[in-house]
Amino acid sequence: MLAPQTKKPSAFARLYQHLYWSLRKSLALGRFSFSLTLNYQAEIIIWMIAGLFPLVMMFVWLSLASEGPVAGYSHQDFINYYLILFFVRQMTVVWLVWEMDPEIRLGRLSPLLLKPLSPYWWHFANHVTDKVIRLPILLVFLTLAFGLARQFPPFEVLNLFIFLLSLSLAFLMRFNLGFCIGSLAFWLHQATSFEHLFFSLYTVFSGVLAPIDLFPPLLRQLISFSPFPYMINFPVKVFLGELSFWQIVQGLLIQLFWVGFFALLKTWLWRKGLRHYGAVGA
Amino acid sequence: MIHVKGLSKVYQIHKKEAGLLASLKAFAKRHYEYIEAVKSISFDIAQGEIVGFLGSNGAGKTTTLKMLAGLLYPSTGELEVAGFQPQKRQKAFLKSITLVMGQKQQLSWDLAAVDSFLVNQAIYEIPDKLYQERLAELVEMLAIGKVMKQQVRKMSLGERMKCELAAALLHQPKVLFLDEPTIGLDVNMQEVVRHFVQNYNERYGATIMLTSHYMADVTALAKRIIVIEQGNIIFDGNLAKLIEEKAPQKRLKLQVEHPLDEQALQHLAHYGKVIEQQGLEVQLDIPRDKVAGMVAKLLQNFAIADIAISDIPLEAVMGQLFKDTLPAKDEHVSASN
Repeated sequence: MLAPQTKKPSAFARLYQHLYWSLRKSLALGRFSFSLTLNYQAEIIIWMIAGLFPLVMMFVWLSLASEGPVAGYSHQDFINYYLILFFVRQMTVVWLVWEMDPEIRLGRLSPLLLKPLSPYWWHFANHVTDKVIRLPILLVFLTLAFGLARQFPPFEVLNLFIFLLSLSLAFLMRFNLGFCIGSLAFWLHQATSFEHLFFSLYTVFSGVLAPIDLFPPLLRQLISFSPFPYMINFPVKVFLGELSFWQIVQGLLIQLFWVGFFALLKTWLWRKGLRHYGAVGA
Repeated sequence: MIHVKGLSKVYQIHKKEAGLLASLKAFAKRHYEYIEAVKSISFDIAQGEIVGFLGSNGAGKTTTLKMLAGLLYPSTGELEVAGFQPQKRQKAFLKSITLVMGQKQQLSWDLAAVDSFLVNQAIYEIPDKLYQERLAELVEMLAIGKVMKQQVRKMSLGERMKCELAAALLHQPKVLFLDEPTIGLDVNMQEVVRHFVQNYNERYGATIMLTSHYMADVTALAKRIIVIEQGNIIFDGNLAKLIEEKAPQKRLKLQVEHPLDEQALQHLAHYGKVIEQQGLEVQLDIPRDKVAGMVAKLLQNFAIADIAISDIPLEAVMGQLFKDTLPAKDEHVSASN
């Protein structure tokens, strides 16, 4: 009984090994994906320009607010809201389905599946790297934009930390949901149509089209049960310091709930989907 | 090392005919077709064996290899590779196998091959010292010291294949599935890859299953072959024995000094079957056991400049095997229906 057990590494040694290799993998994937992404600098800039829609909405609302505040939103409020929103949207962009759909349908998933690391982490590394490259460009852009508008948003260090937390959770929500939608390609020829559906709902209900405060109360109540406002509206509000302590706690908990919910759903879909893999081509 | 029993794979295919009307119909009501790509096959492969896996396009080779590598979920049957059930896709299983597909690549197109190697090192959890040792070995065996630092898109097909092999073997798998590893390579590079596979097998006692369209790969590497056709195994056994059974002849290539006339050809036909006659070259199949005597007689009776004796090409043997087996199988199917 004792003899074979002494050969086995202790729980501590195993934990150490696990942590060590997790770190090594993250570093290796990060490095790899960084060199890979640097090949596509030009594309990133183009994608960022393609994401200018919130700024268009900003100008629409600014012209509406030129006569006076709209539902309590002044000229300055709209600038603060939309410039921060632009940042949040850029930092939570997820394009998983566009990669997973051809991967699954054309069998390009196979080389990734052979490795003892879930493809989830490859995509995750790519997305995080993309954000690391976007961040400095965005900071320069925001400084210029706020400078031009001759105003700066309210700023507090504590708020910044909570904002970064809610921003990360918003990204994880979108990433896990994106992985769920991407996994549908195991069954569907066009999983991308679901992404279009998601994107329309997201644009309307996350606060991009209009600040959620401007929605009728009943609709506001309804969409608060959906994940959308927590992907955009909530982090923006946290940054602008417009929420009470309890609203922040509640919001973060709801974000956590959605992250976990989509994580479970994607695990389930992925496991089911792998049984289907190869049935449609590959 | 590999145990397969009653393994089947049924694909569900969404059936749709060409044309707009058919598309609309298919939209309203989906029709599925079921295709049995692999039909209850069984075999066992011992550790250290190299087995050639042959069959025509769509016979079920790749489907079988993908099931063995844990990529495809089997429809029915028992499956065990290196002590694991592949479809569970445990980490320890994935670390003990590899699948190299000649037509699919794992190396990243835009980066140097070493960059992909380094990621594999981390993913397969290979300690630094061991990684350096193995890389040095692979670099030496494959002669890729310089090439691997180049961007993959700039490599020739042969260089890329060698780097693919290195990337697939850094974790020193016990079981190798090679699907058309030499496809598209020139004869020289085919030889290099073949030699490498042989070497790897001898050095590490690895179990290897390989498919190839080039019979030379199979004849050079595998003592045993498994032939699959329309999802069924139609031969499993010794390659030499198969050749003996299906091709009990040797092929003689004669270079004659003067063109042969009708009469001479008829005379020649007494010795064996004339396969081809072109100018001064004649090909003749004669029974294996009579080769020595026949050659002596031929040299006596004909003006022969040169003579070469070889086995009948494996392609021809396979052709014979399919001809012998397939009609028999059809009868079997109709009987069981």
